[in-house]
Amino acid sequence: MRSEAEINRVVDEYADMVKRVCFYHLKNKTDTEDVFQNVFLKYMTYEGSFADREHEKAWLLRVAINASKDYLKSFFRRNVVSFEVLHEVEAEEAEEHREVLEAVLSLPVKYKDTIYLHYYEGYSAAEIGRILGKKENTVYSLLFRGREMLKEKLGGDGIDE
Amino acid sequence: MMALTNKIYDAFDHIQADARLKEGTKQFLRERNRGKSRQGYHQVMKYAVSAVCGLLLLVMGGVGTSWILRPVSYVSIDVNPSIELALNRFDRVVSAEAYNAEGEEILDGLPLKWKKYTEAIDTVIGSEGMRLYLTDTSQLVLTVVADSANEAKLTEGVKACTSHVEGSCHSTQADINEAPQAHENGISCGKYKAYLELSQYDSSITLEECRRMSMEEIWERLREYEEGGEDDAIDGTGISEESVGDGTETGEETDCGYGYGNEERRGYGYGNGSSHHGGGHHGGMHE
Repeated sequence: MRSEAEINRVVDEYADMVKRVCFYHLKNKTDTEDVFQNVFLKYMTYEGSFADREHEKAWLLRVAINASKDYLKSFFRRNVVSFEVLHEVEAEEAEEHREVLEAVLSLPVKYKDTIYLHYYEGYSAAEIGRILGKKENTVYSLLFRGREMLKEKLGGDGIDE
Repeated sequence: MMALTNKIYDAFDHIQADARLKEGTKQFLRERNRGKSRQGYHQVMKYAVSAVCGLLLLVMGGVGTSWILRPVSYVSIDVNPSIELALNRFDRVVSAEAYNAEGEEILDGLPLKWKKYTEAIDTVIGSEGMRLYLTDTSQLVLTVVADSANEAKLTEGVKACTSHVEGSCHSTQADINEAPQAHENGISCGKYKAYLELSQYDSSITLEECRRMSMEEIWERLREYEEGGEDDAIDGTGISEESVGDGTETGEETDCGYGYGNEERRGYGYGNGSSHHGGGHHGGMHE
């Protein structure tokens, strides 16, 4: 069992990251918060140790992705689908952010994961491959296809690589 | 113009965990953590309670078992075979002991344990092996060894069991306090009582001799002494005092069969007036 100080540090440090992962999968606040707490609960009860902070972060990412996918697969979630997609995003948020986010969130899960991990977290294809358990080349393909889909969704206007 | 990379980054960057979510999660984890601790405490308490209950059950089981298994009374069945049934407080047989080889042969394979004592007596007396010893001249002596609360009841049962026995049959009682001495000496309570009686007439008689003697032999000798004592008493030899003194137990022994002899023994035979051996203390009946 991890100490309270350690748990608080991890919550402070990775709360945003975990929330993003949960949110782009679940697309609503309630489910996001449920899974969010469960991710840290898993961390609290995890008996293993981490080689370093990078290892710890990668572990949390993998757990958050898997927990979100599991939640989506759950019977309850499948039968009580929330349509409040994106409405959780703050109203005052810039229209442009909302549009991009909406485009990202509309992608199939496998693209969303690679897009997020690459464009936001800055992981390389090889690192993403290790986190997601995919081949590096597969990750490249997913990144390429995902970016193409985003361009298409965003109309290509003003999109610059 | 904004690069897609930046746009994606910015879009994600706007998703943040607010303080409420962070604090709520920390609180949730703290509670779960405490719950775990409490769960650990409850687990320990649960095991402790289980252990105590288990121990209690064991103790109660042990006490109960010992309570049920402990013999509180005995019924000796002596002919030549010498057998003793140990009864618990429910008058059930908790063990059956043979005090000589003949007794062992009879007990061998007889299902007596947990039987009601009356059934057990019936089983022993009715057994093939025992029938060989129940002759016209044999003495079947059943001795009830119990405290005053159970003695009469057990004696009643014993009499009922032996009412149909052909041949000489007697029921008698012995002091429960003498049982340990009898058992220490490897002899049934019934025979031990007979030995004590005989030793009053003949101080040279040993337990070993009595152990080897059949009840028929012991009783025959007792009868001789008593009849002799009576003759002496009649003759004024003074021996009668000892004999008659022993007669304090007169009436303890009752005939429960149809055979001979009993009426001549102790309280029944006095006054018949016939002496076989002229009052000698060592009648020499036992070879």
